[in-house]
This record gives sequence, C-alpha cells and structure tokens, in this order.
Amino acid sequence: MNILDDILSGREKRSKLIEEYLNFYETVVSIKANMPGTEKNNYLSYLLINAFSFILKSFPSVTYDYHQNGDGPFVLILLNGFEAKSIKRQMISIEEHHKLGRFIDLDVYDRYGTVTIREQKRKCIICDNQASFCMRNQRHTDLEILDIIDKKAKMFYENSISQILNQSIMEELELDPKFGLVTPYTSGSHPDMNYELMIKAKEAIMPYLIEMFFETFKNLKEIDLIRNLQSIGKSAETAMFKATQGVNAYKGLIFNLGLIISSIGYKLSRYEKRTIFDISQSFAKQLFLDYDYSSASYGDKAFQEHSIKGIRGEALSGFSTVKEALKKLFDLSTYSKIQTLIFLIINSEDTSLYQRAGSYEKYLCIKEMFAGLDLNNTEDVMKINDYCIANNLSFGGSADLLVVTVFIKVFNEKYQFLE
Amino acid sequence: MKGIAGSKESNDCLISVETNDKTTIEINSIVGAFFYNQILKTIEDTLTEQGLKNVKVVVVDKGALDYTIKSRLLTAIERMKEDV
Repeated sequence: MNILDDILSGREKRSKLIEEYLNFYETVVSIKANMPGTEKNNYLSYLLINAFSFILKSFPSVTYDYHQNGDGPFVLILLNGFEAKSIKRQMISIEEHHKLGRFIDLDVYDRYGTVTIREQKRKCIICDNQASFCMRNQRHTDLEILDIIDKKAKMFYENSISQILNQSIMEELELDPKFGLVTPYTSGSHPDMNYELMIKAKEAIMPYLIEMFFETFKNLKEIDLIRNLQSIGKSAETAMFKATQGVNAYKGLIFNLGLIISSIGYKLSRYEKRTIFDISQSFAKQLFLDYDYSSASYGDKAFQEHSIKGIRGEALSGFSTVKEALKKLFDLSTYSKIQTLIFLIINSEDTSLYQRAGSYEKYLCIKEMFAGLDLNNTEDVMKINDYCIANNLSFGGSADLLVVTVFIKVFNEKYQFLE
Repeated sequence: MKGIAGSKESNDCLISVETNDKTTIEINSIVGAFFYNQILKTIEDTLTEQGLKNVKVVVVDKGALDYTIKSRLLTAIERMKEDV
C-alpha cells in the first residue's frame, strides 16, 4: 500500500472503531492532531495529542483507547452518563483557548454521529479564510503549515518544561531545614556554596536540560540519541562550572534530571507505550554499556568496596527509589517534601553522603538515625539538622532525587502519560 | 449490490455506490458552494474510467481533495462488486 492509501484506510478504520465503541458507550471524544501532509506520525502529531492528554483528567476514572495508524495517533475517550452537547462545548472552548488548540481536533460523537454546535467554521491556520476552503484549494504548502505548527508546539513545550523545571529545582532549594544542604538561610555543610550560587547554577543548566528534551524528538537510533544527550550533558556541566567558578552545584542533577527529561521527551514525541521509568532504564543501560568502575572517584570507590552504585544504580534500576518516593510526596508542602527527602536519604545510595561520612559504618549509622526520626518532633528535627552541619554531612544525591521526584509529580499533574 | 467507503471525518468523504436503473450522482459537500462541479467531474470521470453505468452514487463530503474522492469511490465500487 502507498502512503495515501495508508492514510485513507487508517481514517476509515478509526471511524469504524468509533462506530463500534458507540455500541457500548453513549459518547466518544476523539483527540487527534490536525496534521497536514502525508507524514501523519511525525513527532508533532504526538506532541500535540500529548499536549491535550490533560483532558483525560477532567473525567473521573476514565476509560480510553490510544492508537496509531497511517492517519496518525489518536486517543478515544469512552464515556457514559455525560451530555454530549455540553462535552462538545467544553472541547470547543479548549480548541479556541489553548495555545495549540488550532492544531488539534477534539471531536465528539454520539449515536447520531458527530456532535456539532460550532456556528463559526474554523479559520485557516495561516490566513483568515475558512479552513476547509484553503485546504480544498491547497492554498498553502504543507511545509508552510508544518513550519508554523513546529514553532508553536516547540514554544509551548519550552515554556511548559522550563516552568516545571524551574519550579522543581526551587521547591528543593527553598526547603529548610535540609540537614547540611544549601537553603536560602544557610550554606549548611557547603562553605563553597550558597543560595545565590545555586540559582546561578540552575540558570546555567536549564537551557541544556530543555535542549535534551528537544533532542529526543529526532528520529535517531537509541544509541546515537544517548551519545547526543551525553554531549549536551557535558556542555551543561561546563556551563554550570563556568557560572559557579568551578563549584559542583548540580552535576548529579544534570545526570538524573537529564535522563528523566529525555525519557519524557522520548515518550511524548512518538508512539511509545513504555513508562518513562522503563525508558530511562533502557537509556541508562546503553549509557553504561562500557562503563569502567575502576576510576578513582568516590562513587567508584563506593561501588568497589561496598557495591554502593549511587546515581548510576538508581538510573539503572529505572529510578525505582524515585518511584517509591512519589508515593510519599502527597503535595508540595514543606512537611511532605522533607518527609520525601528523608525517605530518599534512607533508601537511596547517596555517594555524596558516603564520601562525607568517611566510613561505611558511619554511612549506615546516619541512615539509621534518619530512619528513627519523628518528623512531628520539631526539636529532634532541628537536632539532627545541627548534627549534620556540625559533622559536615550532606546529601547531594538525595537532594537531586527530590528534585526529580518533584519534577515528575508536577509534570504528572499537567499531563497524562498515555499507555 | 452496494458498497460504502470513507468516513465523515474532516478532509474526507463518505461515498456509497449501488446498482440502479440509471446513473445518478448526489453530492452533499461542506465546500459544495465552490467545488460542486469539481467534485461532480471527479466522480463522473472515475465512473467513465471504470466503464460503470447505472449506479447511484451518494457523496457526503467534508472537504476531501480530488485524489481522496477518487480513491474512496474506487474502494466503494470494489466493495459493491464484492457485495452479493
């Protein structure tokens, strides 16, 4: 079959599928990208439908079906007990107000067919004419239209990801007390750092993390993608060291968050049913395919002597500790964040703690101390905080994982991962 | 004998073809005001090309391009021939 036949037969199959669902459901809502040209499965189609996956969250315990065929990807939301016209009105409002609304079709079907209440016909993406006329006349080239969609979609995601990125780093940085980590009020156990320096480092690394997100849209072999991501990560480190004049503020974070952001970008830009955790695990495996643990770094020594795998281990496990930590992070209150940080201190393999503890015994002993801590006892919390600073302890690895946990939580509130 | 192909999605059309005592073509298009003749010509040309007479063709068009209309019509004809 040629591409055109593929598109036409895909469209027909989709319409048949909707008809079949209407035997069991009163209303079907379809989310589909409005994509010109013959390549209906490009990354833009996927970015678009994922930008509207939040609609799934507006229905309690929703049933949906996620598919792709020659006509591109689509989501069908299957509903009973809703008034089709009122859903259609909501969908029109989203199409009209969302920044990418012009590029998405939110169609509502009931047993009489397509539900329509739109008075005004949709306008063309480029000019002021009615869309169906420009389309029929092929007034604009596909490239012209694709270019506009590409710009708008990238702008949308850049804003969205920057905002979540900034928020998640700040949620961690502003947290106090933090057991030797830098907060707005103390440098903790880091005389070479302070709050302002961390902000500078954050500003320096953010553009690179966003670049990683965009890099995943490319249609590359996974191993080539990993190499590219690695090189963006290196540039991020260089930019960070330049901003901090040589202080390592966020090297671990570049790695952890870079992997998670890349996994999210990868998932959102193609037909990918694996979870972001599975994707990050697969990325990490390729990244460390030929890793040599015999170097002299603390992380490697920790691995050789006590098989503490640190952030590498966490990534290779598909961020299994972060997955658990997400269950602890009920909201973004100070209490909830500290509770999550402590969970990470106890359960993750933090090589920066290992380095500062000085011995494996002390490393375990400190974790034990945190395991016995009652968060409601403010006095004990302050005591352990003072103890950590007095003993020059810190938990950089756990702090990075807290940022990652917050990032995923906030992202998850705005988007729904399609499975 | 009857065959149906296509959908009522935007930029598509739903076409049905069935045997009849004469050839009739019915077109209902959202862009009919401007493109009725062009759609009609595509249908007529395709029928001639296929040497097909005495069929009733009904087109519900949602702004499909000519090649889509032609392709949907060909599939509908094929399905009609398979329909016993």
